[in-house]
Amino acid sequence: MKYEIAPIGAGASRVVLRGRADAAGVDGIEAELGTRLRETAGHVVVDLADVPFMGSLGIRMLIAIARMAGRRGARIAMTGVQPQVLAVFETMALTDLIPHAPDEAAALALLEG
Amino acid sequence: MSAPAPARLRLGMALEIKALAAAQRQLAAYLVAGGCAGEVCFRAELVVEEVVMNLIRHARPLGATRAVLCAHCGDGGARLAIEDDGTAFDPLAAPPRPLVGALAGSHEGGFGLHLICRQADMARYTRTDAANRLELDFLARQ
Repeated sequence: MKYEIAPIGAGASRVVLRGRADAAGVDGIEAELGTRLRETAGHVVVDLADVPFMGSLGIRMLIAIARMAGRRGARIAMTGVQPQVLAVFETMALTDLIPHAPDEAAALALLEG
Repeated sequence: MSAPAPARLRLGMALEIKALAAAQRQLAAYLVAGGCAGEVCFRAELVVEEVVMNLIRHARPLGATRAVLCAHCGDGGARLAIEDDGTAFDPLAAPPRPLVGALAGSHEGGFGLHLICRQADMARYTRTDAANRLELDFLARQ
């Protein structure tokens, strides 16, 4: 899988994930993504619109990103979560920890509200 | 038109992430060809990843070398069995712990079992012939 990080205005970053977040996909980006995110400031919006599958490593990676943001006083939110991925997130109560929104503007409103 | 699914799927795999990913792809193709709903395929793949990643992390350092994944489809659902040659370990014995509090904690102990119990409709562990065997049912929910 692939990722991109870009600033959203002054106070947040967008992380776009693309591809299957299975064991091999996550293993290929997790360390580098973590390093990159440690260098960013502010809230994080994770765009999952192009992630058709997320396994247990992917869920753990999201939790790790949320922890990382939390340590610097920021939070994360998700956008574009595909229905099957969202169903798993909801049964795992992941959405209680990491809110999701239909689009980036709504995600930022959640994080800044 | 795709070929009909074989009656059963049986995949041996080394305890490596690359082998797990290949097994996930083959499992998904088998389940789709066998008429399983997308959400059944998704949950089955997710649980297989969790179980095999646990073997890679915890059983391989103690001597486990291989896992065998078996699957068959029926009524839109799937029954899976995952066997490994590691020391006896019941992954269902620990109390499941939901994710609440995970952000504050240093690890997600119990998360994997919580995941298995929430995604599989039945999970049963047995130890036979020096192998751990985990049976999992995934019923069509929609």
